[in-house]
Amino acid sequence: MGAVFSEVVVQLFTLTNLVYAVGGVLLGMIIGSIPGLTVTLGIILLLPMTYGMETITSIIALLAIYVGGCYGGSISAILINTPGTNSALATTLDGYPLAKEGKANKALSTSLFSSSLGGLLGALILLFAAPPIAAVAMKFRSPEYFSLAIFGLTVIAGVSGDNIIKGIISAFFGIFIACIGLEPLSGTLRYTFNSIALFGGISLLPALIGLIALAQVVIKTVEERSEKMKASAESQTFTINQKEDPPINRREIRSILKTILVSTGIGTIIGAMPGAGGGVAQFVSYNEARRSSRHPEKFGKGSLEGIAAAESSNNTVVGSAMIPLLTLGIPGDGVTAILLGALILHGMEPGPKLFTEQAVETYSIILGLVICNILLYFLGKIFTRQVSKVIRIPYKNLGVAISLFCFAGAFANSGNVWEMILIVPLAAAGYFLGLLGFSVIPMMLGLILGPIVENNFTRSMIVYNNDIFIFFKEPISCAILIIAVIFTILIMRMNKQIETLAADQVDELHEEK
Amino acid sequence: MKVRSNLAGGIIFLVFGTILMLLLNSQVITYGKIHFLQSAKVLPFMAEIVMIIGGLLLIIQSVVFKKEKIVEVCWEDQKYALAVIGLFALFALLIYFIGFVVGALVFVVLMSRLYKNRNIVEIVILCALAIGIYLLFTLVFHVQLPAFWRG
Repeated sequence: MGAVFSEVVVQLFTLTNLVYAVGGVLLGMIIGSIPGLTVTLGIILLLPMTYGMETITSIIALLAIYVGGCYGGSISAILINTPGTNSALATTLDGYPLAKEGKANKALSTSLFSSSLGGLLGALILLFAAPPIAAVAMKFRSPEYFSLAIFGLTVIAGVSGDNIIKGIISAFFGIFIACIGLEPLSGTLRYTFNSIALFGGISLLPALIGLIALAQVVIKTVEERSEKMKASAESQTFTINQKEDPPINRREIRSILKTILVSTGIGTIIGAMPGAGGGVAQFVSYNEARRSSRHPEKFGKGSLEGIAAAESSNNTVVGSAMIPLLTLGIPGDGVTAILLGALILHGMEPGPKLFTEQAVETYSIILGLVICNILLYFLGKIFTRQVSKVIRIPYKNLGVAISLFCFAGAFANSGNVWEMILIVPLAAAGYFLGLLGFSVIPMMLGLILGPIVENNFTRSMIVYNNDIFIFFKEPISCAILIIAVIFTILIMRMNKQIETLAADQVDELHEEK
Repeated sequence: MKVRSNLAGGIIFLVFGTILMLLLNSQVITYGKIHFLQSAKVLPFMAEIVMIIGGLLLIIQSVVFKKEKIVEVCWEDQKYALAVIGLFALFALLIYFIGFVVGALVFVVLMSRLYKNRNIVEIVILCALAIGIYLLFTLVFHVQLPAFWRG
């Protein structure tokens, strides 16, 4: 273990890694702060640029975007009452009222401190919790891996929107897309219609770019045209005045520490559950902070505890969502699903073997996440004011810029013009299916998990002589499938409760005002 | 125009899944004696079955249980969306025929016209960004991009 960590130190602490971590956190802050741009989009856009990088550098750069994006979402939540990301929705409840009182800087510094500390604790929990889980998972064979991939698909329950049937169809549509082209185990061609362009299949990255990034450009462009994107008429935009508006002081930091620790615990548990993510963690933590606070009446009127609860929990999720991803190969949410794709594209195979066969890379990535959270605090202190000015960039310019990156990224994937052309029909499919309520996130999960499901299913059939019930006969595999069913029901219920809770909290706070 | 999203989505995937199912044997040809469960047909088959059953369930939800999500589709918005998708297609072709940077410059100008953006400074910045992206990918990240200019 000592040899691994000394190698980690050599591999991780390089100037290149530091530069990309700083750049990634800043880029994440910018992307997260702009309403309409998501962390998912940011990671997809940066992914093609990481092809020429070392594995450790590229994954750290992507994680840095995730870390920066989670905090960035709070900047617009506080200053313009519009969360930059879904996981900053609860931050608007107390952040914006504080900004209205002329305390935007205090709100932002509370958010930054809570995000950095929550994120740091989440990363440390990942560092210590992941290896024992991976050690247990080392005993898994193909039936268990198949069941785990199915378990990964339970995320669908959390990201299907209002209709789970649409989510399931969407995921299997993604799996079908992943089937097109040459099947690797037997060398059989599937649904190529004798077109050489389809022999290689539809690569993951162009599919993600078309279905998610470019489709989002179309959606936002149409929304902006309909003026849906504009902040509510009641909302004003606030700026940071550092002279008249001091940041959070030591006494205030001490007053929110307990809330941060409790919210970190909640964020860790929820983040490790497939399908829940930062969106759920923030409201559960906010509710708990309000319930246990000595001053619940301040919530919704500019409570620092409220901001701390929401922001520390959603940043903790970054680390805890990586626990099932790195140890079992199960993505916790949409962003970690893309990170799973990124790890595979860079030659890593998420799962327990990561901690033995690619231990240096794995521990470097985990420690890189710790460093990204430390960097977030200092970069946030220096650049939040500058980043807050970016919020006002109109989408007509952002849309064009994102499109340019999308086409460049799709071509860079393989240098194949066909893949670049392919993103256009995929964007159209993503847009029109989205219009009918089919979320593209399950589609993306299907695309990523499809090959893993197939590989392990076929291997199990070969080893266990076509016994389809082997997944239920093997005790661990059966337990995983049962847990998957329980989680699906649990997450569906939890999402409904969170929707009600969020709506109730917003209504209640408006009534109190 | 009001669209019954469950019914429309259900019909689309029922038809799509059925067509793919009918094509399964001609589009996935396995050679030699291989059990179906070990063949390359099994996963597409499962995906098609789910699409067909899911489509049917959505139709039943809509028609029998009257559980429906009505989506307001504004034709003007959809024409605009189609115009944006059309410009994407044009951009892809321009990159293929005249290279990335020149294609991107044309794309920026056309998209700005579509967005009714007459701010020359913003358009120039976007054009500079197109060149910047080319240089960033090729020189900094050492990732191949289509030719700067295919004259």
